[in-house]
Amino acid sequence: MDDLARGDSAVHHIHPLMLFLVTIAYSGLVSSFGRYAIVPVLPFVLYPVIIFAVSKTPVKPIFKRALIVLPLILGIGLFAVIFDRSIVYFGSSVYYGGWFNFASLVLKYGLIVISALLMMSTMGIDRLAYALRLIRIPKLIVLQILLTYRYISVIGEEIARTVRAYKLRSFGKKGIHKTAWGPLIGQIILRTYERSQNIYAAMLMRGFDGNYHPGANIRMKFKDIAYLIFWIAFFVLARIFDLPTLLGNAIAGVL
Amino acid sequence: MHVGDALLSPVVGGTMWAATAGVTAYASKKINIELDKDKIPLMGVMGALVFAMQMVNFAIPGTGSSGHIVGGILLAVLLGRNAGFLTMISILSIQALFFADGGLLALGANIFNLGFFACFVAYPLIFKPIVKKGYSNRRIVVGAVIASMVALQLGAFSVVLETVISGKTLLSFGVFAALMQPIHLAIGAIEGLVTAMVLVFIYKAKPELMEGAVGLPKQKTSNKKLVAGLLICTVLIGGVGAWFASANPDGLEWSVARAAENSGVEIVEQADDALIKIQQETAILPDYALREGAGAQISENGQTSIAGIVGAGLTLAFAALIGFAIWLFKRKKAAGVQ
Repeated sequence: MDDLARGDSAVHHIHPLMLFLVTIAYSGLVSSFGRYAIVPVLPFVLYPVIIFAVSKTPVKPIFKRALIVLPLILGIGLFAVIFDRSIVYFGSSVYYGGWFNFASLVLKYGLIVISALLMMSTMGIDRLAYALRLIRIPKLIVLQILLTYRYISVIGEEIARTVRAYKLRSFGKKGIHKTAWGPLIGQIILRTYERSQNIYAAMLMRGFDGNYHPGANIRMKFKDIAYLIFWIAFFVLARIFDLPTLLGNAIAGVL
Repeated sequence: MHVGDALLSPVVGGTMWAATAGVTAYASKKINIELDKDKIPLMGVMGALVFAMQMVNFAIPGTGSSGHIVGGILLAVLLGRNAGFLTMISILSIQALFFADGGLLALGANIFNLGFFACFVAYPLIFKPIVKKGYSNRRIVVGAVIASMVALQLGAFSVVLETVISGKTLLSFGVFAALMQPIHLAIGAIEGLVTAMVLVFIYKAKPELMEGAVGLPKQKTSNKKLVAGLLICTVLIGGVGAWFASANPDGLEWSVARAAENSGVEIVEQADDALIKIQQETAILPDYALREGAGAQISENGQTSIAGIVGAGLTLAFAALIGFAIWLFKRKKAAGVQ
């Protein structure tokens, strides 16, 4: 995802704060639709489609990531299908609300998750940190997010090595046996602690004073503000008016 | 146990954001005073550690299945409640942003459910009093297990409340709570046991890593503000809960009645029954005859369904067309450059 964030497109050049605010507005408005809403949500599909196209972000890796969390929503959705006995009228037919609820949840979930992933793949962790500082998130937290993000791959590899070593000695048993819970994780924690001491020493050598310095200022330009206003206006319009139904009525009127 | 954006209403999401922001401001203010700077990288790598540890599966004795841990209590014990909470924030933020686990709107709720209850309720009010007289293996195990179970129960209950109040699904309070709480009792017990084993090991190998275990003079931190804050939260949650309960008396009665007679089995049976009947009961087009207790009648887009379908199709086609046009334009441009 960091590689994607280094891409070069109109979206990548938008001020990170604006990308952040548009994504927040998008998530908030999409999730504000009622529990059976499907048709009125559809105009919101336009936003990810345009961002995908303009930023040249490959669709596959984003969808793959979005799929990871799908089981949870599917689970809740299926329970809704089983327990939701309310009745929904759609035209002259009557349906059980559960199915509408299910479809609505999956649609809204998909849109929100994809919009968040798109934000990160056009912005990257460093510019996100910059945006977070601009909205006055405490330095310490921004620093924590950066450090944690930086070390996930390092520590993850270390854990993977440790677990692999354990597995090679445990004759194909599933999971880590309870006798090894403490020592295995404990050892990793001790090693991690030592690593943090080394990191701290290295940080001190490079002049770390407990503060977070974001680096060069990113200037806010007219196009950034226009970007924000355009999307917010579109989202609010699509939220207030049921655009697809209006469109459908207009077409029906012409015919 | 992450809540997703799609399940929360903006009001609930926003409220939880506000609550989380309050706790965060408190924690980061406290920590600036008490923190020695070498704790900053420690928090960072510990966050990465707990994050990565969620990939490790622990064999659950006697069941043949396995699970991973959340790590809230572990972080609170190793880093203190404030630093532990801030570390949970960084973990959950990265999960929300890069792995779409939860979501931006739900991030506040997730931090509250997974971080606040562990670091600011279970750790100071359960774990600490238990080990107050000094650490010992038994105290660590008892403290970690009870604290983890309480933290997860509160977190799970909070998920239920947030989801039900949001009203994005019609799952009744009783059904949802009866599904969530027992499962998280088991998860909490496992989480507690793993945490306890790890802490016992660290206590033996490097006791100075555990907050206040050796040497350091006992910190006199006042819990008054914390207790006052907790009281306010309790009153708020209780008030909202009561309001909600009175709006849905049958749901609450139902869950109380079930709780009294050891709910788990009953609920499962009910769910099975429902699954057996699923074909007739959840057919896409049910009979016109409404069955008893079919719930509220909700009309959406009354007679405009045809227009709705036509419009929906057009909207999607329009979106696809725009996307395709931009893509085509970009490709032409790229070809022109080359």
